[in-house]
Amino acid sequence: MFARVLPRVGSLALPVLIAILYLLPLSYWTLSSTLSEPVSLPSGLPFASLMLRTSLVSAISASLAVLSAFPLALHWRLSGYRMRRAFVFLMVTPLIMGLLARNYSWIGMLSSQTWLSSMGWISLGGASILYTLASVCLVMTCVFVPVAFFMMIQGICSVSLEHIDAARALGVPDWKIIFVVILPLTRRAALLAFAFIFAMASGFFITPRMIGGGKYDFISNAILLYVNLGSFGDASSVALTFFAIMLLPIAVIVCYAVRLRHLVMGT
Amino acid sequence: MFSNSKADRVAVTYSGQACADHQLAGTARAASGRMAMVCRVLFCLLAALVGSCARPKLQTTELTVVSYGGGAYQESHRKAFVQPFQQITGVRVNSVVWNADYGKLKAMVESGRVPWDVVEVTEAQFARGTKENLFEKLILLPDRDDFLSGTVSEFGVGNVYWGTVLAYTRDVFRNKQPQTWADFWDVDEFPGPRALYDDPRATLEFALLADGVPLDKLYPIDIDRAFLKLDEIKPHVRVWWTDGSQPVQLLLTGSVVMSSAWNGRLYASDQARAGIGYSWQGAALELDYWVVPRGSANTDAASRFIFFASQPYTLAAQTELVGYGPVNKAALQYVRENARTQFPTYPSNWKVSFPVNAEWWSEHEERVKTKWLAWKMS
Repeated sequence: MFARVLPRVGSLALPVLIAILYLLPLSYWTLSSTLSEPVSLPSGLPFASLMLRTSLVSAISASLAVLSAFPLALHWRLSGYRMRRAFVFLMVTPLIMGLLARNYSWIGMLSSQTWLSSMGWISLGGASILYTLASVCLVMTCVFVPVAFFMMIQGICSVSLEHIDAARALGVPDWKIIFVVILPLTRRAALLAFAFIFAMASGFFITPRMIGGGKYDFISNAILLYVNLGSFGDASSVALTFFAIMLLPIAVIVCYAVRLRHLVMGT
Repeated sequence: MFSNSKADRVAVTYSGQACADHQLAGTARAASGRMAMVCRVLFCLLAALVGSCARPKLQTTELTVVSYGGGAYQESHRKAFVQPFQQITGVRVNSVVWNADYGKLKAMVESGRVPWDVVEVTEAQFARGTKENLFEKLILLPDRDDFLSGTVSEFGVGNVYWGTVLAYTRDVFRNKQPQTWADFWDVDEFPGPRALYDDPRATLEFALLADGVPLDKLYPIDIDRAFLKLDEIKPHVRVWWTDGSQPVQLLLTGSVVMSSAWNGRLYASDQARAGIGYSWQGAALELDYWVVPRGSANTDAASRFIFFASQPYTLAAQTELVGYGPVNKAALQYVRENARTQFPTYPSNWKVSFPVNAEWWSEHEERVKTKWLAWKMS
């Protein structure tokens, strides 16, 4: 009897432990501030506009990051040992640099007037791209490409090289192999990468502020504003409302990805 | 806090002091640089000696001093306050930067875990923090008579006045330079992208000045009128800056041709002095305070640090490095004349600028900042 009950208790204890150690500290500030003061958004705050901008830019950045990471991940899958290591090194390096350093690098590069240091941006419009919404999307995409890459390679590993060889032997062109063999097998990883990056991007505030020149505030900038003012109740109200709204699209994507897993893996 | 009459009184006090200082400065200039340095060191030693005689010996071994702004300002703190204090007392001082986020300080004090010992706050934060009981009483206060009226209290000591001025790229405006906020708003006469501080404090006042409101009629602020005027300049503002180093960088790289900027950042950099011009017309003057957050473990040493930093010689050394105006009037006599003319508190600068009304802002800050965010979104 104990042998049957103990694993069940164990499997229950684990999520409870995770909830205590992870979720509770995470939500403590929001909940305690909200419970001490009734939840109401600060009057005059353009919450809907902020929400829309945050979601839109996050979705664009997440999509572009996944799309950019896909060929890289595919190349990684089809490459030899040395090339794979080189890919991983190139993807890990920006993560070590830190967000602030990368933001400043972008500002320096985009505002530079010389052809070399601006990597040709000057001939594409140069300084005018900096402090625009396009530059925010561009930099956020670049920030998330390594994240997307590492999530994508989990999915791309399920692509069997034998399947690709077989398709080639049957005379299927490469572009068709991508659409018929590779994409269906990697769709789930791409969706999860999108959901993960979308969630991360929604919480951004430094990049939109620095690269957007203060013109493209995200919802987190509003939260930060109230925190800085010492109005913790207002800050937590905004954060909680934002969290509640964001749960819905994330839940839909995750459910869809899980369903895909059943379809693809047959589990 | 500053009624206009009070602002006038402060200005008069400063003007009178400045006249006396011109005579004193003659004596000071006569001394060689080496002699002046020796005098300063001796004074520091004297100050420390006085401090140690008046109170029991410091038990503290480490002190965390927090100032805001970073860059040249923090460097001036390090050279003028931190290093001499460390040498004299043996207390190790950690010089930390914060962004004057009131919420952070409030949360720290309310949580009861206060790692900061001395914090530099804005005048509005000082007013609010005193009301909300966030600060410790100081055990050692400098001589009130040396200070501008009302800048020494049992909870904090005024440090420096700093100014937000109109800055422009010299290369772009060689023939005719923008001098007033009306010029800043005049995009036909002075074309090119602009930058402004991403904060309604002082920026609303600049808009009103550009709209023709006289300096002494700025408060209470006509918020709607200010935002209407800001609508005109909004399409020409390329960057809403958040960090004091940004306007200098933006102007020097040519990203913008005109910006509001903290005068210290323009004063402290050779590159900025060469490439950027600025005007004191309609500059916003703000006052900083030293405070000890409630719950600090080193209130005694923290109070001594504030006392030390408020002495004329130490304050003169700091303000000469960064170009901000010392609140301790006695400090002026130890500052070189050419440096003194760059201070916000120099009579000719003070006369054409306005002190930001901290009381008005501490009352309306949250509402106006929410409106500011909404306005930027619109």
